[in-house]
Amino acid sequence: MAATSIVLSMEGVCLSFGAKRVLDGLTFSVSRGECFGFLGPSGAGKTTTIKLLTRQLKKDSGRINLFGRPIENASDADYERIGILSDTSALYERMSIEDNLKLYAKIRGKGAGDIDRLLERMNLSQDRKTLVKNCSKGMRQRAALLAALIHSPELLFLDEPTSGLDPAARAEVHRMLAELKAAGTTIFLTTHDMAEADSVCDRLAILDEGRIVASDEPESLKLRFARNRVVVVTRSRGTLEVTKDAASAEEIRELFASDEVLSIHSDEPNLEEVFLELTGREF
Amino acid sequence: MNAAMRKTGALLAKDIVDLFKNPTMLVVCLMPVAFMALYTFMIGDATSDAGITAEQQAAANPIIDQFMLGSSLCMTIGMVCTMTVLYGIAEEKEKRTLRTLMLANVGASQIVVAKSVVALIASTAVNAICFFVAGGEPPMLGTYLALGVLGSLPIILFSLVLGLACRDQMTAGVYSVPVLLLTLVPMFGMSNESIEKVGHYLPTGGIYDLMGMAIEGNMNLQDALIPLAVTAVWIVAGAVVFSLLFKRLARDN
Repeated sequence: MAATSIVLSMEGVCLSFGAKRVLDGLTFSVSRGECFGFLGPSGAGKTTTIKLLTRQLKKDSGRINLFGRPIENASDADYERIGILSDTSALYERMSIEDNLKLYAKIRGKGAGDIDRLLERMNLSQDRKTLVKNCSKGMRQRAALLAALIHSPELLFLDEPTSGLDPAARAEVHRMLAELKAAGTTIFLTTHDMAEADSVCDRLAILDEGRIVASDEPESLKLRFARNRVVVVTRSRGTLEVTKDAASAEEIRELFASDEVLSIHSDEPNLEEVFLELTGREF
Repeated sequence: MNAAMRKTGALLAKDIVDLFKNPTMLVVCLMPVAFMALYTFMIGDATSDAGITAEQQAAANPIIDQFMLGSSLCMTIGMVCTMTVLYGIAEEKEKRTLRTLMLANVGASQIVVAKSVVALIASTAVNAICFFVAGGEPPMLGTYLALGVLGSLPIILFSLVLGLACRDQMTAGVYSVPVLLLTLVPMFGMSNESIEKVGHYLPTGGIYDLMGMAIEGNMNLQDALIPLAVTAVWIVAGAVVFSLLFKRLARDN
């Protein structure tokens, strides 16, 4: 991976709140155009990490680089290249969705030209004149995401972007994230939703008690924790779990020969099981 | 600089439009006008029932005018400036729109400037309406509005500090009471000598006295020096408190 393609990196970053250490030697990097998922249970330090990366908090030690330079030297112009949707992002309730987007377009120095296209993409065109106070949570969340995207940021921080959304709205967000990724936007995503992380992210880091306990591509992580077994459902002998070795292969061949096999599949863990394995905790 | 001005301008436009959409702000802006209408009615009724002579009436007029226009200034500054700034910031904090703005790379200073300018515009507009409701003489309007702007400055500065310190609108309600009381004290000076003495030195005391001098037509530098100094001291005090606490409050909250 070329050093110039790294948009964001942390190296040995530590942060404490009083006596409690919330981030302990955090090290990772995110490349241009990559969707990097940051997973972890509540209180693991996900939002704190985003706050460090977006100037809301200051680290105690370690190095953070943003667009190739130390975060301490990052300029306002660098932050104009960033879009942020936090778990507490909110729009003005007495204004319509469209007026809110126009406000943010003006703040970001962009024309209102892209608003129609964005509203269309998020399926909000019909509701553009609806006051935010009359919108459902899903509509608010999608509108807030559009506000974060209004200036076509190069780097997008998304903190639980689909939290509280119905499956259809979640699918809209996932489709949009896929489009953004295809267009070269770098995405830093925190989520509780393992299926979302699996389908959207190119790479993942699993955070537990302020430390990264694993980091890799979703498939590699799952394979790393593969159980090396095959499940065979038979006609008369019930469900059999056999290991992936030569002896089991012979056993399975015999089952096929005697027409006993109803179904057969490997038993790979999903991300949630990988997470539980690594942290010993539930979300 | 251009980006800062663009952002401040966008926030200013948003805050001005919101002033007309926000029921709380509308009521706050209408209150001084309603009070002045009530006072005009009450004082007009009282003087006509008192059976005083035309000479006595002529002698009383400047005192009544000072009370009416001075009270109008105190009420407008106290209610409009305090509430638009304090409640404005508190609502943004409570509804988390302030945080969203700051995550969109908007500086706290840009938000503060927009809120302050809106408070000045609103108080000047309300002051102008109150002036005519209170029966002010049109030639006096310029002086009256200038004193309104001058008196608004310290109150806006203190309200900004309190706005940044408060958590939500309920806290804003509590914090606004002492500011409101301090700004209203000078208008009760006529009813009590001790209040009058204290009133001269409060944030709106200086402009209340200057208004009286303007009405009597004897605003010379020597007499105006103390009320001007009182106002200047409050503006400087507000600016010092604001500059000391702004960074910390903006960061912590």
